[in-house]
Amino acid sequence: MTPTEFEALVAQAAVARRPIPPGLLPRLAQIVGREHVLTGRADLLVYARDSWPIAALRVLHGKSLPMASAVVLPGDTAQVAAVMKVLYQVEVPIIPFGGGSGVLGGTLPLGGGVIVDMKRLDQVLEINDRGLTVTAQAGILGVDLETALNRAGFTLGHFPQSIDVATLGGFIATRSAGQFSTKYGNIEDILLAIEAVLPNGEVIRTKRTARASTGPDIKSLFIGSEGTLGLLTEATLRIHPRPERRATQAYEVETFLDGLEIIRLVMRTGLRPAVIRLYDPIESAHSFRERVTQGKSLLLFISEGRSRLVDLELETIGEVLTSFPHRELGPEPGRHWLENRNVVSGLPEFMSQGLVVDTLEVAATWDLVPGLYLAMTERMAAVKGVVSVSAHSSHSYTQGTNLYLTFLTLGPDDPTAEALYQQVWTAAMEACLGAGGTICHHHGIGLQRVKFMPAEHGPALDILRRLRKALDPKGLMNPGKLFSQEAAPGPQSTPREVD
Amino acid sequence: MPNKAAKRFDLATQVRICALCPNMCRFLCPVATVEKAETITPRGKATLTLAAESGDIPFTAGTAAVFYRCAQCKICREWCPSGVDLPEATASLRRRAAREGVSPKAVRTLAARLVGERSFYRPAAELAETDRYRSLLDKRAKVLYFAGCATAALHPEIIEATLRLFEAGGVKVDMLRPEECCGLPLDVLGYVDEASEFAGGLAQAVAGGGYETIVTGCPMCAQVMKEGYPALGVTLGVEVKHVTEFLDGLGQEAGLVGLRGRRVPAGPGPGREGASLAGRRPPTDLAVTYHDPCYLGRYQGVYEAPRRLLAEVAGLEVVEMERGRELAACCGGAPAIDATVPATATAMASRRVAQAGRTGAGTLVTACPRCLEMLRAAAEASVGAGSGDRGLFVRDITEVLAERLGVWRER
Repeated sequence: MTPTEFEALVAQAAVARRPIPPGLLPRLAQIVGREHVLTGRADLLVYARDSWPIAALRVLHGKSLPMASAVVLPGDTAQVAAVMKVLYQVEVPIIPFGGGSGVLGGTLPLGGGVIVDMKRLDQVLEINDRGLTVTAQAGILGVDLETALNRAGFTLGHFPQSIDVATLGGFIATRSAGQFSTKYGNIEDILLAIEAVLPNGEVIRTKRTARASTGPDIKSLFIGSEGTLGLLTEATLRIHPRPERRATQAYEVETFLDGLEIIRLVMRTGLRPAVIRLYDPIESAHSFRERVTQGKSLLLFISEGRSRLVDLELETIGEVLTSFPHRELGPEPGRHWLENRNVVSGLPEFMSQGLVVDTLEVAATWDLVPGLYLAMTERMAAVKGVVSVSAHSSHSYTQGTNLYLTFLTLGPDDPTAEALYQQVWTAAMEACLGAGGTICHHHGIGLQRVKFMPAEHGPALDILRRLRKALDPKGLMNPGKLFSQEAAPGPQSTPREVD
Repeated sequence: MPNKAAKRFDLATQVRICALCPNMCRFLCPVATVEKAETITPRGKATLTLAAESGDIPFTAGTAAVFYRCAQCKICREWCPSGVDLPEATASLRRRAAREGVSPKAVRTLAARLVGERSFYRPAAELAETDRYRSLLDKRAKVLYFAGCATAALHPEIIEATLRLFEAGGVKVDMLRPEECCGLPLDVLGYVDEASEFAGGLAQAVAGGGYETIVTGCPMCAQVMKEGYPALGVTLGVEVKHVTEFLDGLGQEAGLVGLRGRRVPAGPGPGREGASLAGRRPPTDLAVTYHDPCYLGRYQGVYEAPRRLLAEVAGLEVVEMERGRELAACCGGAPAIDATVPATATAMASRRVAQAGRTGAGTLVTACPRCLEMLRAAAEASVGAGSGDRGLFVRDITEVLAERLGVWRER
């Protein structure tokens, strides 16, 4: 049987795989304590996966995944530094691990090594009321950070769907976006300062400040670095007083493209509702059932903040709508969404029945968005075996928006499931690049998108490659992820405008 | 978003769904929250279950040990929109571990001791508390009060408080002598045959007594008698109620005096008279917070009865914790956790006490002797550790009720 794309990657990584040096485990145990070094087969098997569908499918079908040699759980920055120093010295790959909610294989120990699980670093260190900042350790779960802030009367405003699963360090390392990002910004807008441990064990801290003109922004190098440049141990982030009021308003619009145009105009007025979500007819019917007419699209706004501003914002949005055929659906669909926004049970339920479902998210500027939508849905739907492709937009900007695509393939038997999955992904990414979109809005690259990185960045990718080489000359940090150190950059994509 | 999703999938499919999910309930798992390792999370256990079933991993003691690091608290089941009952799948792997002799040593030791001594704590024969309360018992009673071995061994004062409440409510009760373990610990540790034997023993002891109702202050005893015994093929033939359900119902049934309408003494709150905790004066305000025991809340759905008793009978103000009722975290008293990873159990209790402390109430009330034990120890430790925390006064609901009604006083 031909090995799958994943199996080929694993085989390639296995060539360089070496047994861990004798004496390493006792040294690690000395640093973090014996109970925090896991080497049992049960532990290693569980850490061999994240939430990437390929990994999940292999678990389901009893197919092997490459395993690390050990998992360590350090308890503070000093322990992280000491662990990194030892591992780097003896040249063992280091794979950072947060909540394991990544959907692209970003934590898979392809060629073995040691996984560093950061979740024992789970403390909120300071909530600064006057400065409106919070400082917390990187292994804290998003939900625990938000709960602690809520208790003190604040919010981070960062609500990725993985908030109950993912860690703060994971938010930063994957360059994440939250559901309320239109108002509060994405992680790069929220993050003010970091503490990180470099591959050689050196600890760096960047300054907590409102803004600085002190050369290129060092912390930004780590946003989206996916564990390839070092390990985040602490972060300082902007916080907000909890909003006085939250209000929702939904509309039914004629078409998805109409909806996109409405969002563009709303953003152009300078409004910043916390949430703008637009669903195509398939997803409108799936997520909102009888609330929306079959074949129509649902457009949802959530506004929050000072009560008078909330009223004004929703009223102004209503004015934009007047130029388009629409039906007002009131606040209920928004409440329904708020209540169910983190329910993802459909995916595992479908997959447990032998179907393959996945989502992927891309983005583009407004001039390219309609063409991007048409090109991607068309190309993905054309792949034989795909039964459904749907889309929504969930993060909007003055300059553009993201598209979040969901595909479902029916009844592939086990050997072809991975191949079909890759075919859909390739069709999606190629269509995206061809239409001038960016291949990823907020999930990151992991393993799944690595092969598309040269086309995404063109020759500029070499800058990232050189940076990685400078900080991690031995190439030990999360090997095989984000981009390939070896591959030559491919041709840069040319945006194609669609009227 | 507590979710009572209907059971839509068989257990094997449920495990697959759990393994395919991004671990959306992990933040609620009280064991994973303390231990941090992925292995302990619901998805970790589901992944391992599939691997053990496919033979990808041998079912050794190392593998089996993971399945004992589950409190069986069912908070994951409560949260899961797909209705996945991973604790049920975990329980079946414990039965396999027990069968194949690969359960952890601490579990085997505990199971052997239970079988030998007929009680979780001290030999059942030593726990003849009935002797002390003979004057409060009535051999002709239709109600059997089953104290449970945790209460008898660790908190015998609860027995007297409870009996005084029955007396105040006009309820005649009897107790078994000796009273043996209900069998739940054996059942949850995977020793089904032994648990069945205990269940059968109790059924035999109850039979012929002419009882109509068994009332117990231990939610674990109540749970295993209500649902565990039928699953083990044992019929008790009497109604089983937790003491809070029973007392809450009093007065609503003909012929019983009931506790409502009795005059609650005015003045300070629980523990006002002389009682002390580690030498401290108990709080005197009327605000209390209530910890829902897993086996009473999520298993039996009893959430309102204890709250009504505290508010309406004892005249107290119940201040809710951030996560209570369906989402109340386990106190760490689950037999498997306490036996195999005691430090985790202690940390779980400390976290729950910290949550209770944030309500501002000075007293934490619960309705389970295991919870009482764990939470009280954690509250005392937090004071001892000089954390600045003034420490919570942890009480059983029967003590609080009896004291407020003036029918019993802690000695």
